[in-house]
Amino acid sequence: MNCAKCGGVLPADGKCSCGYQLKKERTWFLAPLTAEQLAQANRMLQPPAPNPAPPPAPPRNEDSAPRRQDAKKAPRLSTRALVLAALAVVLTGALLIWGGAFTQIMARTGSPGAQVRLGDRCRARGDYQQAVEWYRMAAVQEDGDGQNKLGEMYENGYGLEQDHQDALKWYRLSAEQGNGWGQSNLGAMYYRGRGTQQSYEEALKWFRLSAEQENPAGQSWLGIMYQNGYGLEQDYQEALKWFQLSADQEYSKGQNSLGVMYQRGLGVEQNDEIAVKWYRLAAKQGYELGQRNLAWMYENGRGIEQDYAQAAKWYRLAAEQGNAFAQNRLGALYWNGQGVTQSDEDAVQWYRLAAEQGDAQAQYILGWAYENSRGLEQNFEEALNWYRLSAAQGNVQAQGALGTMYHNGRGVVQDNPEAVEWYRLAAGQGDAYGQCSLGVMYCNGWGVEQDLKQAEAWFLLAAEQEHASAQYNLGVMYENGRGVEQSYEEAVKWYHLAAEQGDSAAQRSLGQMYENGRGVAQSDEEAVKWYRLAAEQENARAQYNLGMMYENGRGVEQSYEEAVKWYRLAAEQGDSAAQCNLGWMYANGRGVEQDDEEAVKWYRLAAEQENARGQRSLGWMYENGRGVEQNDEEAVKWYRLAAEQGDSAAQCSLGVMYANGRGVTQNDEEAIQWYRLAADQSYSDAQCNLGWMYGNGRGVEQSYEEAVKWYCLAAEQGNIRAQRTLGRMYADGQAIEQDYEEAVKWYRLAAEQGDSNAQFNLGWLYHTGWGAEQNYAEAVKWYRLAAEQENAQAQGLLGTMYEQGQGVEQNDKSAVKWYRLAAEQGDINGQYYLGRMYERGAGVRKSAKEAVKWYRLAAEQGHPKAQEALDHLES
Amino acid sequence: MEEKIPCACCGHPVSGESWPMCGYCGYVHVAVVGSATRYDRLAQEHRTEVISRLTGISVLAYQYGWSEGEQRYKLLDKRELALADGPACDGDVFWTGQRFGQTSPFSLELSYTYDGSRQRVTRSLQPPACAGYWDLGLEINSHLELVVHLGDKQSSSKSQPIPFIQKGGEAD
Repeated sequence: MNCAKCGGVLPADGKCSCGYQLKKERTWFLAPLTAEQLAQANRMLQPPAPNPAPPPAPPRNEDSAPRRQDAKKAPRLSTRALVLAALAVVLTGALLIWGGAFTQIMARTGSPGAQVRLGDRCRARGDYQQAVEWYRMAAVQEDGDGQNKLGEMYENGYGLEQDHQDALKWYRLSAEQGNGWGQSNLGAMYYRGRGTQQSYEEALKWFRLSAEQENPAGQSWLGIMYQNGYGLEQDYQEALKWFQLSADQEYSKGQNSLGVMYQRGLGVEQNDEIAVKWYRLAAKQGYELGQRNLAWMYENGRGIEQDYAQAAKWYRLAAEQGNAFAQNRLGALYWNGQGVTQSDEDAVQWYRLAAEQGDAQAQYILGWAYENSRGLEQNFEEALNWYRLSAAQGNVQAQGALGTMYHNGRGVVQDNPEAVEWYRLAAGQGDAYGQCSLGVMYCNGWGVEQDLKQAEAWFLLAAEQEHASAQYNLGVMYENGRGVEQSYEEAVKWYHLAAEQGDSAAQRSLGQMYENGRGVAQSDEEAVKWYRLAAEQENARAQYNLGMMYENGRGVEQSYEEAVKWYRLAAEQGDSAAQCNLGWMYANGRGVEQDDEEAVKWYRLAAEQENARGQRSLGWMYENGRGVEQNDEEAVKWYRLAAEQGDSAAQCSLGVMYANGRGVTQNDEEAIQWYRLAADQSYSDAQCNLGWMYGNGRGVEQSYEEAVKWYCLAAEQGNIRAQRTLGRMYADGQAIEQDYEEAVKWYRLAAEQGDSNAQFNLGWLYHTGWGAEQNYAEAVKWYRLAAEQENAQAQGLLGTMYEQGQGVEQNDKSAVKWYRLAAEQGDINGQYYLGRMYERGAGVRKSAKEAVKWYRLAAEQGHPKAQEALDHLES
Repeated sequence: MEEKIPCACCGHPVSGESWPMCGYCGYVHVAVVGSATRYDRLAQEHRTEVISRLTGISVLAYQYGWSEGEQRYKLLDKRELALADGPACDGDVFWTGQRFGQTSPFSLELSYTYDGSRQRVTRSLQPPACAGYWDLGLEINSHLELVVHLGDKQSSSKSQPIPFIQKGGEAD
C-alpha cells in the first residue's frame, strides 16, 4: 500500500514518515485489489496484537547469511531494472512512432524525405509556414521533392508572400534534377507565363520530360497541349493517349480531362457514360472540376439518370473548394428546390460566393435578389453594385437590369438617357430583353426622341427571338396603328404568339380581339378562354373582363356569382373598374346579398383612384342616401370630380343639382353649361334636359325649335322621356305645329320601350283615330299594357272599352274591375263610372250607397256629370 | 501508388477511398483558396463539433474500506463514476479531482456516450513510477482520441489513446 499523501510505500503499521496514517476510510480504486493487497491492508488496519516474545538470537555464523542473500539480491534487482528500462525504451519508441515524433526526429536530423513528409503534414493541416520551413530544409539539401514543394508554396503564396519568380527558381532546380513533379510545375509556369515569359514551347518541353518519366501530372499537361494544339499541332488521339496514361495512374486531373474527351467526343466516340465514369473517379479524389462535371452530368441527366440530390452533393463539394460555377449551380438548385430543400437564403449565400469570385451570372442573380428582396433584404444600392460588376463583364441580363434600375430610378436618380444606353448595350449584343426595353423607350420617347419606327424595329428583333413582351408590344402597335399601318390581323398574330407563351397581357388583349371580332372571327367562347387564362395568372384587367362575360352571359352561362368572384379578385388587386362593378353588384344585390354599405365601400375605393364612374356612383349614393347618410353637398362634390373628368352622366347629374339647387346654389346657367357638355357627348338624358331648359326658357332664351332639336337628338338615341315628350308636343300642337302622325310615331317608340304614359297616349290616339286609323283593339292593347303598369287613366279607359264592348268583348264585371282600380287611385273618370255601375247594378250588385260614395268622390274632384248624378240620386 | 494525407482535423491518414472525407472523424477537406486561417477554423469547428458529441465519460471504480462489522478491509461498492463530458477534455488534461488508490498496472474500464451511443473500452494503464493515490485526468489529443492520465500535473502516466469516434455497438 502507498501513502495517499506523498505516495511513498507505507510501512506495516500504515503510518507514513510524512505523517500520513492509513485510515479505515473508504477509498476508490480503478481495479479490484488483489488478495495479497487486501491482506496487507488488513494487517495495517487490524488493532495491534500483544507484543510477541522476542525471537531467539540467531547463531553468529548465520550473520553473514543475510548479507549474502543481499549480495545475491542486488544482481536480481538489477536484471529487473534492466528489463524495465528496456521495456521503457520500447514503449517510448512505440509512442514516438505513434505520435509521428519519430519522423520529427528524423527530420531534425536532416533527412530530406522526412522533412518533406513533415512539410506535407503541416500543409494538410493548413500550417503553411511550418510546411515552408520543412520544405526549405529539404530543398537546400537539393532534394527535388522539397524544391518542387517549396516552389508550390511560393507559387500559391502559402506560408509566405507569393513570388512566382522564386517559385520558378525552385521548380527549375527540381526539374533539372529530373523531378517529374518539378518538371510538370515548371512547364505550367511557362504555360501560364508566371514568373517568366509565356511560352508553349518551353512548357511543352518540360511537360514532355515529365510525362516521359511517367509523371501523371506531366502526362495530363501534355494531353492538354495536344488537345488544344498549344505549341504543336492539335491531335486529339495524342491528347487522349496522354490523358489515359495519367488517368490510369489515378491522377484526378487526367481522369477529369479524359472525361471531357469522352463527353465531347474528342478523338473518341462521344460517350456520356464513360465520361461520367472518369468524372466520378476524379471527383472522388476531391478534384473540384471532376466534382463539378459529375454534378453537371447528374443535373442534366447525361450519361446517368438525372438526380438533383446527387448533383447538389457534388456541386457542394466543388463549391466548398471555391469552384464558382459549382457555387452558381448550387445556388440555382437551392433557388428551385431541386435536390435540396428550397431556400432562398442558401441560394443567395452560394450565389454570393460565386459572385465574389467574379462569376458574372452569379453577380447578376445576386443583384436581382437584392432588387427583388429574394433571400435577403431589399437593397437597391447593393443590387446596382452587383449589376454593374456583372454588366462590366458584358453580362447582357445585368445590362438590361441596370437600364431598368435607371429607368425606374431605383437606387439611382431616375435617368432615362442612361437607361437607354444600358438597354442599347444589351440590345446590341442581341439580348431580347434589352431590345424590347429599347423599343419601349423609343415608343414612349423616354431618354430618346420618340421614334415609332425604331421602336417597331427593336420590338421585331426581340419578338423574333420569341420575347413575349415584344410580341405583345407589336400587337399593341398594330392594333392601334402606331408606327405601323393599323392591322387587326397583324395585332392578333402577335398577340397570339405572346399569348401562347403565357403572356397574360397578350392573352387578355387577344380575348378582347375575339370579343370584339377584330382581326379574327368574333367568338365569345374564345374571348372567355383567353380572358380566363390571363385571369388565372392574376391579370386584374382580364379578371374584370371575365367578370363582365359572366355578368352578361357571354361565352359562358350567365352567373352573377361568377361575375362577382372575378370582379372581386380584380377589385382586390386595385382595378378601379372592377371595384365599380363590384359596388354595383352590391348595390343591386346581384350575385351577392344586397348591401349598400359594401357598394359604397367599393365605389369609394374606385372614386379615390379617380375612377370617374366610381365618383359618379358614389355621388349618386350620397344624393339618394344609400349606404351613406344623404348629403347633397357630398353628392355634388363627387359628381363634379367625375364631371371634370368628362364623365357625361356625371355632368348631367351635376346639371340637375344646379337646376334644382341641391347641394349648390340654384343656377340655371351652370345647369345649362353642364347639360350642354354632356349633351355634346350625345348623352341623351342631358340632351333631353337641355331640350326641357330650352322649352321652358330656363337659363337660356326660350326656344321650342332648340327644344325640339335636343329632344329629337335624345329621342333618336332611344331616350324614352324625349320620345314621350315629343309625342306630347306633336299631339297637343302648343309649341310646335300639331302633327298626330308624328305624335303616334314618337309615342309608339316610347310605348314599345314600356313607357306606360306613352302606351296610354298611343291607346288614346288609336281609340280616337287621330294620327292613325281608329282601332279599338289596338287601343285596348295599349290601354291594357299601361293599365297593368297601374296607369289609372288607362285603367279607367280600359273599363270603358269593356263596358262598351269596344275592341274587346263587352263585360261589365271586367269594366267594374278596371273602373275600381282606377277609382281607388283617385282617377276622376274611374270614380264616376264606378258610381254609375253601382247605380245601375251593372257588373256589380246595385247599391245607391256605393254609387253615392263614388259619385261624391268624383264630384269633389269637379266631375260635372258626377255632381248631376249625385243630385239625381239624393233627390 | 496512393498517397495518404493526414486529416487536417484529426491527423488520421485519409485514404483515396474516402477522400475528401476523413474515414475517422468525418471531416471533409475543403481547400480554401488564400486563407489558411479559414482552413484552420473549419477544421477546428469540426473538432469542436465532434467533441461536443462525446459525453458521460465514466470509469468503473471499486470502493474499499473498513467494515466495522466484519473488522476487515473489504470491497464496499462497485460503480461507474462519471468524470466529465468531451468538451472539458479538449486540448489540456482535465483533472477530475477524483483520487484513486492504485499501485500496480491494471486494466481501466472506461465508458462514454458518443453521438447517443454508449461505448465501453478497456485500456491497460501503468500507474506513475511512484505508486500512490492519484488523480485521474482526461485529455482529447490532437488526433481526436481520448487519453486517460493517472497522476497529477507534475507526474502522470497515460493510457494508449482511445479512438472514441464509434457509431453504434461497442468500441474495441
